Amino acid sequence: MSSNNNKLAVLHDVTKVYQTGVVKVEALQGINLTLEREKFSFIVGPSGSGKTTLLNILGCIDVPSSGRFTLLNQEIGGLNDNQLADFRNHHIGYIFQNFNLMAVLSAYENVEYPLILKNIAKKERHQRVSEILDSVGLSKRQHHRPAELSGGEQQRVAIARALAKRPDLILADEPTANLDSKTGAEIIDLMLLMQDHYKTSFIFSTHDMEVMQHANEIITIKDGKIESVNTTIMKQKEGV
Amino acid sequence: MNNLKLAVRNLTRNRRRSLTTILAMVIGMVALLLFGGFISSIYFGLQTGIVRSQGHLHIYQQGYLEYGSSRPSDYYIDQYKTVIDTIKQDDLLKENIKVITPTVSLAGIAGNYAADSSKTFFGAGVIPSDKNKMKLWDQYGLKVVSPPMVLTDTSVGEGVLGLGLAKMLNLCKSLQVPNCTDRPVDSVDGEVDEQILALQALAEDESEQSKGNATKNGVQIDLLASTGSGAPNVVSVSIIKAEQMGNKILDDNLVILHLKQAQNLVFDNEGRVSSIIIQLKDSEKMEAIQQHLRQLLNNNIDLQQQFEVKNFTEFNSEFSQIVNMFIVIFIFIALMISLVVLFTTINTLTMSVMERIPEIGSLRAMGLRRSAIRWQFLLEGFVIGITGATIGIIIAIILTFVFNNSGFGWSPPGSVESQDLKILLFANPLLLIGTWLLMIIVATVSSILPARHAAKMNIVNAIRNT
Repeated sequence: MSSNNNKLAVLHDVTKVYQTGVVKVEALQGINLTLEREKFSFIVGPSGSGKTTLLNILGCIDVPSSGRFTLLNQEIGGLNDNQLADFRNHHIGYIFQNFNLMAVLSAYENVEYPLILKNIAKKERHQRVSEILDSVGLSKRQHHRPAELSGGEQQRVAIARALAKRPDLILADEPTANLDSKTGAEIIDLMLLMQDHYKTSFIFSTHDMEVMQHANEIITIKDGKIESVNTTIMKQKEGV
Repeated sequence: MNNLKLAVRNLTRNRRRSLTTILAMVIGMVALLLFGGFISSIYFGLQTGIVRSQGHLHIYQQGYLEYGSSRPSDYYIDQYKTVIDTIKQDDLLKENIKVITPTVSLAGIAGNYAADSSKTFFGAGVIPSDKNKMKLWDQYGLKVVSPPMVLTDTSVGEGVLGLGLAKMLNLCKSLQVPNCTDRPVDSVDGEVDEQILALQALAEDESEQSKGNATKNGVQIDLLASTGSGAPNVVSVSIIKAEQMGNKILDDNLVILHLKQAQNLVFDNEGRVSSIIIQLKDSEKMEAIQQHLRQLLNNNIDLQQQFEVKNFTEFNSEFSQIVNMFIVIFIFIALMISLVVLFTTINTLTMSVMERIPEIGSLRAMGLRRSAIRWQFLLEGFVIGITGATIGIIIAIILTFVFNNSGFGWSPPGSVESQDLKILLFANPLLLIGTWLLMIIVATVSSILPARHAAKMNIVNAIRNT
């Protein structure tokens, strides 16, 4: 039985309803889910199934319409906007499908930026950024701006940016969708390596069946409801 | 990577747009500064002209400004030398006064009976050496050369009149004034003729009496005025020059003569004057000195009179009117330019926000607070403002230098002395600092709406917006 300290997230009867004019869309309908720390989890499902909504709630950039959501033992529903921002700043890293790097900053500065937000001293920032850029193989490209980098390189910078502040959780919304399959596989390998190195919990949303083989846990969602939580892969891997 | 550096970099994303915005601000700033510098030039030029001719402060008997112009002989300063001595003995005044001089204002009829001409006039009795000292005042370094008066302290009996009056009194030919034609002389009706003859008789009588005192230079005219008792009095003045006085009213009416002669004409008493003119070393101290003078004179029981002390903005209402007119124009232009800068900057920053929606969403997802996003865009507005305002000042300084060395000249209203047309950019520090701050504030205020829009963005929608 997992202790509370091992629990990454607990969702109890979480719903999310979007109201667009007179149309009411129930994106999530009574989600009950418990996720453990330091896992490589995937949320999968067809388009419109609610996987991105679930990922957004897990990443604290969206709030449930009802239900309870606890992340890292923190009841998220009770936090105001500034508290949520601070929580994200300290505990959550993001990797976006379109990389979303800051165009005016170099690779080094993009990775350094979240550390500035966390008020980390310059010397330590430099040490961390250099180390992580070295880990993702971009030391020689660190002074280039995003426009001068390939898609794969940009996503490596995004991974480095997410990891640099050493968050408890990294969320990635279809991080390989805009990459070719070879680069996508490389990125997944890199994330696995980083997860192993930094012991960070990763949660992905994806359509890509190939990348799912790397998962510890696959959560399948359909029509806003959890269809299955498959931990077989994880157990197989742990068995190995 | 500090926020300021980030703001600067963000503004370089779309260089052309940012440069256009900054250019609009620079043009507005330069226009505003040059116009402000021109107003300063007008302000200090006008002030210099007025202070040189009329001084900073006038001391009158109480009521003179309201009623004295109709009866100058009833409103006078008695024993003016005692008043001047009292002022000169005061430490504060002694230290601050450059020139103190009495003057007599008068009005009456000037007649050149030899040419069968007469006209109403107003005049001033002055001490020429004091007036010449006053013409040297140049607190603002305008370096305008005012030629000294043709009258001297020893030439009692001589006078100067306006060009228009010279024409009307048929003195052009006699005084050999260039570009001046005497009035064509027609015969006059009998009744008027009798009046003229009576005046002429009085004048001739006076001329006989004053013979020996008057110099033989120039052309003699007779000035008729009433004394305090109501009796007519006449003096003969040898006009040695007709000159332009600065405006048509003065040209057509003014006669300048010696103080003593004016005293004899109006008061028949050399202890009385209409007013005392004070020219200060520093215009900035005018109001403090004015207040001090009021207290000094009106609390002195030896003087046995009540006085009023007026400064040049009070006895010369044109100055304030002209300056106020230019200030209103300046404010109007500043308002228009501020509006242009406001809308240009709003447009630029709004476009910038729209282009950076996914980035704003990402930053918020990474943990940036709404206030930090707001601050980022406010900072970008501030950077646009400070860049445009500073470049504007530099260009304005360069253009001012070029303009001031181009040799344009002008005569301020009411002055006959031509002076260099200068843009006095540094004469009023408030102009530079105020305009600089105004542009920065306007640009920063312009960024409030876009910044607010960016900060209020929904994170999920912003990230989706690709």
